[in-house]
Amino acid sequence: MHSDESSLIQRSQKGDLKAFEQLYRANAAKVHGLCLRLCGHRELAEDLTQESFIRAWQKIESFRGDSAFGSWLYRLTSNVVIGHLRSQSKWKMVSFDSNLHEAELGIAQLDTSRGDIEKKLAGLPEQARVVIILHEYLGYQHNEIAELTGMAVGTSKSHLHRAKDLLKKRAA
Amino acid sequence: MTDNSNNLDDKQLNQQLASITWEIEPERDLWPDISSRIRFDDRRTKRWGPKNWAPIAVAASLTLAVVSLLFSSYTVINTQRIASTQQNLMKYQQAQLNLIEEQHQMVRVQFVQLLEREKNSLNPDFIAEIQQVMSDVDSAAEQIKEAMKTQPSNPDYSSMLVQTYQHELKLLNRVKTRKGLSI
Repeated sequence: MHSDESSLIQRSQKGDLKAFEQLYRANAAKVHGLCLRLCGHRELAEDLTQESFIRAWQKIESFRGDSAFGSWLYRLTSNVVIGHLRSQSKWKMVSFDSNLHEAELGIAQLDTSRGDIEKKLAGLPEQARVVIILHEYLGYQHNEIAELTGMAVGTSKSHLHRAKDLLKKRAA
Repeated sequence: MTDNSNNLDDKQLNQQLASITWEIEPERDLWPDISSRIRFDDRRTKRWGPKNWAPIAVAASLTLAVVSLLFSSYTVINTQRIASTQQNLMKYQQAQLNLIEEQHQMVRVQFVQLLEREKNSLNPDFIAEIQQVMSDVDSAAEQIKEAMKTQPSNPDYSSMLVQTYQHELKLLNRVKTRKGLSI
C-alpha cells in the first residue's frame, strides 16, 4: 500500500493528474473531515477541501518523503483552513460562553448523532476548537500550533486547558 | 448529585475524543471542480513557458488592443462604482460587460478562423489543447454569470468575468505571437 502511494506521489510529481486523482480518492475523507471539524461549516469545508488539494498539487513537487504523505497533507490542510479562519473577522478571542447558539457555531451542519462529544467539540469557541483538534488529533506540540495559528504558545496551552475543562463539564 | 460528579476525568475525555469519527466523506464528489481548476491553472502557468515555444515575434495587434481596452473599461467600472448609485452602477456595469463580451467574441471568432486556416501546419494536440482552454473559459464564464444572477449587485463577479476574459485574451495573444500567426 505504501509502495502504491509512493508510486502515485512520484507520478503526481511528474504531472500525472490521474495519479493525483487516486491520491485525492484515498485522502478526501480525511482532509474533508479535518476541514469540517476545524471550520464547522459544511459548504465552507468543501471549499477548503478543494483548496487544500489544489494547493497540494501545486506543492507536491516539494514533497520529499521526510514525513508520511498523510502528515504532509494534514499540515497543508491545516494551513489552508487556519489561513482562511484568520482572514475572517471571527478569528479573535471569543469568550467561552456556553450559551452560544448552535446555528451560529454551525453545529447543526455536523452529523452529531454519533455522540455528544462531537456536538460539544463543535460547540467550542473557534480558537479553542482548533487548538484541541491540532493537539489531540494531529498530535501537534504547542510551539507548532503557535506557528500555525499565530497565537502565543501560552495562549495555545490556555486554550487547550480551558477547552478540555469545558468538554469534561459539558460532556457529562 | 453535584455538578462535579457529572464531570468526566481525563481518561474518560480521552476515550471520548478517541471515539470521534475524523474521516467524513464530502456529500458530493469534489474532484471534477478540483481537476478543472488544476488544468486551467496549469495551462496558464506551465504549458506556455518559453521552453515550449520558439520566440517568434509577430504582431498580434487586435487582441492586444482589446486587452488594453478591457483594462481601461475595468478601470472605468471601478471609478464609476464609487461615484454612481447602486442602480446606475448596475446598468453601467451591464453595458460594459456587454461591450466586453462582444469584443471577446469578436477576438474568439477571429482566432477560431485562424486556427482553422492554419490547422494543417499546426500540431493537432496543440489545437485540441487550445480548444480545451477556450471551453474551460466558457465554462468558468457561465458559472460566474449564474452567480451574478443570484447576486447582481456584487461587483466582484463582474470583475471576475472581466479577468477571466482577460486571461484568455492574453493567452491567445501569446500563442499567436509564439507560433508566428497573423490574422
